[in-house]
Amino acid sequence: MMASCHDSAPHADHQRHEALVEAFVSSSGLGASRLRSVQRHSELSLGETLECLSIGDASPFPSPRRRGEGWGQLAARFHDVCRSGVGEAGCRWWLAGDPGWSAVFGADDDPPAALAYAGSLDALLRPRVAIVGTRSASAAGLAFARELGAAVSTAGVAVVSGLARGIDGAAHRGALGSDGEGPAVGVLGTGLGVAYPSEHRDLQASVAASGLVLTEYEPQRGPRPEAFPLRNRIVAQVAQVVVVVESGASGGSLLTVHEATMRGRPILAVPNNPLLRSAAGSNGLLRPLEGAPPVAMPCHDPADVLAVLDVQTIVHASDDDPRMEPDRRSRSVLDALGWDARTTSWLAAAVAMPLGEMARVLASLEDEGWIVHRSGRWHRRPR
Amino acid sequence: MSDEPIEFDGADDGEDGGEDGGHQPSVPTSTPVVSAGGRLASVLSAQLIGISGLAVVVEVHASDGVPSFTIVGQPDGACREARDRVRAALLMSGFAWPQRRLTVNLAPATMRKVGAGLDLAIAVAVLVADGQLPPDRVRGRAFVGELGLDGTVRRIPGIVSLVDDLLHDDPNVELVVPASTVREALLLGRGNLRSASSLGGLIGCLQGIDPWPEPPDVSDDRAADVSSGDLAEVRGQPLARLGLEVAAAGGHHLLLAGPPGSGKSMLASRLVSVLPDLSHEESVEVLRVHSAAGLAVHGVRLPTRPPFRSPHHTASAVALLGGGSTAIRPGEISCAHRGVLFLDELGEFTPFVLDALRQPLEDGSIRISRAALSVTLPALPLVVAATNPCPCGWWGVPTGEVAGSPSCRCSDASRARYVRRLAGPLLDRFDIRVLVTPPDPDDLLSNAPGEASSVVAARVFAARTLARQRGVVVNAALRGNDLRRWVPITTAARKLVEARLRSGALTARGLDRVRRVARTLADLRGDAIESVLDADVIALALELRRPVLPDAANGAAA
Repeated sequence: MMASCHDSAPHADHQRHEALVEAFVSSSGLGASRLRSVQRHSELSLGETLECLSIGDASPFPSPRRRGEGWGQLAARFHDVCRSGVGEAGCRWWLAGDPGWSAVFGADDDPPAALAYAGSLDALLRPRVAIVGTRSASAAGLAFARELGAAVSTAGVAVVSGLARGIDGAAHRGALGSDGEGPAVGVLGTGLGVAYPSEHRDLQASVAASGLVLTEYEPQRGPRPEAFPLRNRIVAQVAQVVVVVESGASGGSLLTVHEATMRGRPILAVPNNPLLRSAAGSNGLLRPLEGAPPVAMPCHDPADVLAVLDVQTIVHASDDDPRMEPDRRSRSVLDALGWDARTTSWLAAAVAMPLGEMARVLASLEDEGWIVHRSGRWHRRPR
Repeated sequence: MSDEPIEFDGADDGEDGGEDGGHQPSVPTSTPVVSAGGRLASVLSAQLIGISGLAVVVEVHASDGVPSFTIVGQPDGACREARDRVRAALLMSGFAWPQRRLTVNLAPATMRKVGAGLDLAIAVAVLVADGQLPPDRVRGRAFVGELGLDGTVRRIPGIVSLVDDLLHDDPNVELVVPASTVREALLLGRGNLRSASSLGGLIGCLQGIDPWPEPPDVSDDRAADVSSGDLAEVRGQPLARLGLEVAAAGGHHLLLAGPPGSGKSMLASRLVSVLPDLSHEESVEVLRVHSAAGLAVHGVRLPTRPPFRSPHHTASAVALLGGGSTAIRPGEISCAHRGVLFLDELGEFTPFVLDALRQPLEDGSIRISRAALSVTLPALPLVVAATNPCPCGWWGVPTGEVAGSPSCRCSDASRARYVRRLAGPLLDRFDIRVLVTPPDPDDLLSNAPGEASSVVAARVFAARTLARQRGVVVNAALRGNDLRRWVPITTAARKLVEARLRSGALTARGLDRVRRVARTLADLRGDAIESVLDADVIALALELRRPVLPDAANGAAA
């Protein structure tokens, strides 16, 4: 089922593939020359060799030889490396020329040579939108990213993002939390066996279980600064539309936008308060540049995204809010809070309420799920 | 004259031998004995261990033989050097140095002798053993003080404890203390005190040639209370002010977090101003610790205001907790006993040091054990800690909350490391945690002062009175059955707590702490001593206990 990538791949890709193999074998403790020796004996392509070894299948290889360690044991060791921290499904390989590859990377000038993945590649058969943004977003930004992720997923669109903190994580959670058909697609800057940030370990596992997690790196590779811009390139390659929810003036999301514009992908940005420092970059995308049109179109609503993708809105998000409507006093506190982060002292001054009553109102709003307390400040919770 | 035999009263010898063995170690005998084996003199002195004064008998034996001078009885370095100081001081004060074989024994021999405080007693004992001073002149007297080479008598730490404990052992003993410490020694206002400023002067007085110096006139001395500022100067910050008041009234430890310049230190330093005056017993405890730690003790009044100690974050464990290999010196936690221990930049302290603070805070005292001895020191401070939420301090401050505030530049990793250092079990000891934000310009510019310390202090005093009626000093000390008895809660309040217990946001221990804080809140509000706590105070106590630092992971996750 697999075609060899050696005959058709350009030289640069060949090099990248070699680098992947090197990294992969170094993480398993098996030398590259030995891997090639395995390949030679089995008459399989390098890609097929990797695939077989990573699922622990030693049957294509000749009978045991070499001081004390047979191919079966080597395959088992490879298998462990691929499985460790990755989950039951293990890591699989998707190489240039494999089925579905050309539909995503076919027209690209600079495709990856090989990707490790967990989950199902069927996720990429859907329309794909990237929802990206800053790791330190405002509460409103997080709420919108989540809502957007849920809405496009409900419309059957795949949500591509980087599984990072902030906007990325919120968009994925939105997609996972909706009942929609649109899967979440996470692109990592680390190996599949590593979660970065570590608190997203569960999120990463959920995305892999119901959608797809992709990476260019070997399973046990940790986070390195140079990996994340390359990760953003893959996000731009995989997605058909990029939405920037909130990005600072020098955020990594702007790199994604840059890669996406070079590939002619439509860009949308969520208009935001000009004073919000964490939105300076995304707001800038909406401004005309010296007579040229703005880089991005405004995104006020999930429908704006679906219109660009030419996807019919299948179901509108339900307007029912399961939370109990707050009483008048509580409502005034909720209104004063808005979508900002506020301290209890600030709220008490804003609505002129004694601290005792304020504490009681806040506690009941918290219990009802309207607000959440984080590190000394209150934030409003999205639905 | 040193070679002339001296007379001695043989009855003294018998009295000495017949002394009752009740005292440990054997107390004041100043009896030289002359026999064929040489001459013996013994003089009473004392040394400081921890904050206790322990009696030490200095015995000097002078015999014929090659001139030498040996100190036995486990002297430490400083004490062994007494040999050279005593010799120079005697010669410079016009006395002859005995050309004999001198052995100094510091009894009890099993106890390590530390420091230079025995110098004066050794010098006096040498003179007696050599016959230059009649033994009856030193009988019933004790001597403490360090000698300079020119014969001056220098101050030593812990004079208050030395005087107090020696007089406790024998109320009739006459104590000779360095002139520079006589005011400190008089603080407890009892006993028969004499002062000495130089060895020559002292011997003159002992021989009856010169009159004893007059005790200083102390009638108009005032304890110099260092002003700690007034809460009226604090603008805005309602929750932080409340936290401060509750901490003072209930004895709950307080954590202030917030960006630089938000007023954390200003608030903390004003905590003392709302604490009630020390009682007599409390003052004595504080005075003993401060004297033993060598802190300046002002005036001759007992300190009336609680102490405020603010150790720098580079402080070592020994500096903070007390210790030392020989003399156990009280640490900052003991110096802040009955007062406020302010740990500024909590995140910069060594994690090991913070961890070591935990047990003493729970016990109210600290037991320091070394190979040779162990000492228990009082340690019952109210702890106030201040910290930034991240190394730069600006994490989590939303745009617009503080005009012109920079945004946080810390990397995720450095922020996580910073918070992890704090997130030890010590953090759980802070019942009150408040996020302090820089004051609003309107508040800063308004002419209306905040509530003054005196007003708050009156409420704090009333609340502490209620706590005393419950049988504890402060509500933070309510435990077990007392807690259940004094802290009933209404159904509405119960619902609030139950929701949090079920969700895991509150632990069983956290619940107890919330109830104690809520009790204090109700007391401050003026509720009756047995009132049932309503939802307002419980909610407010929960509010004061909410985490104010970023999660170790980050907390910015959606």
